[in-house]
Amino acid sequence: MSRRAVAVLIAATAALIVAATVWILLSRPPEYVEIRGLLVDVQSRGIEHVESVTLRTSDGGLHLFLATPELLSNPEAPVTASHLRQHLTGGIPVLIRYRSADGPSVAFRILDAEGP
Amino acid sequence: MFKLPRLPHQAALLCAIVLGVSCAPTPAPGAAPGRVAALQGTPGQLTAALATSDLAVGTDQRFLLVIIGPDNALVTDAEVDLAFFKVTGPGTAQLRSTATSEMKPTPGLPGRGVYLARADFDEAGEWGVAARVARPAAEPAEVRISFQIKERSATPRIGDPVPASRTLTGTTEREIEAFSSARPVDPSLYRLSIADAISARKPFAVLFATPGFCTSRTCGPSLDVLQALKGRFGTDANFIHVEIYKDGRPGEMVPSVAEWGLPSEPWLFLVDADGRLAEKLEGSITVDEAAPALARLLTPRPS
Repeated sequence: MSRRAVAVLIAATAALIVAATVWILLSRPPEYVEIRGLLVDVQSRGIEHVESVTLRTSDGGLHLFLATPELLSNPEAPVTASHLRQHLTGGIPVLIRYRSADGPSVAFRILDAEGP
Repeated sequence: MFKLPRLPHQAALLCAIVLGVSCAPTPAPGAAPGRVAALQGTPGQLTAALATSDLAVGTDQRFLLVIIGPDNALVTDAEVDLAFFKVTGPGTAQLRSTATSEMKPTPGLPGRGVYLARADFDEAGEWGVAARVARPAAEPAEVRISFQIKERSATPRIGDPVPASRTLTGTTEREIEAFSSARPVDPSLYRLSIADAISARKPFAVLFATPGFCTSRTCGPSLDVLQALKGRFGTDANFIHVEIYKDGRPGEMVPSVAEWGLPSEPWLFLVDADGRLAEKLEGSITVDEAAPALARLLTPRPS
């Protein structure tokens, strides 16, 4: 095999690897999605444990999310059902981070989203 | 109470319920998460949200409704009339009562508020409310929501003796900061336990809340309300703050939370000199609403 053929083969292989990597990265579902709005319902077990929330977005859509225990166990910003009810009562927007790969939308972080 | 302004208001809700149209943002059991198509949230429409969590059979129940406008901001400038319906079976509902509501500004949150009404619920089960929302220079609109009425409330009932909880007390700021998340602490709110206050045979207000748990404006105002009540009524009544969590952050709750059956927080309870519950306020608590209720407890009773 000539040196030129080897070089072409190496270049083609490298291009294939790059293309495959790009394809894999682009085809992966995003780790999570964010959505902002006002809470209109909080279902819970007691004061702390959130079971589900319903969010109203600015386009008027209503979105239902199941909640994970991560909401409460997050050491930086634990979120309780009562805290979310206070958001509901005060009309304070929240930012929900959720995953929804092939199943229900599951909220794992809910953040205060007050701002302009 | 008042007569409904016009029949279509009643008929519309009845039709909605009879036709099985969902009138609540509350998801049906087993509902698939994601976009809630059945709720028909659409641009230009109002959405209602229930802001109370312990409604039960009884009279004069405190009913709080949040109304969200087409701009996704709370509606606070409307006249809101309510019609309460009992869902009596598959596809049937019955008008049980009507009420006018009053907008109560949310403390600490300018431009925001909830609609407060008093309602009677004579039966447990599924209920619906139709809110007729009349805003200035706009056609009246109607928004509906369904909710559950429990046979018995989780928190003490009005008129019942309250639990004589041995809540934490302290005298110095350092001592109190060990169990309260309030900053700065007001030692006068931790002088007595609930049990002590009952024994004192003087009306008292007890607030269950975690003012320091979060840093946003949604938390904290209820403690300001308790302090304002204390400032207004002085030594005529006792005032107690009970922290929800043992260390001021989510985790282990103090025993009195279970003793009082709290499904949420904050709660303000007003207790008479005989240790019986006179009023209970959940969530959005204002001096404007609590002060008259407390004043009634201080009025000498006819002998």
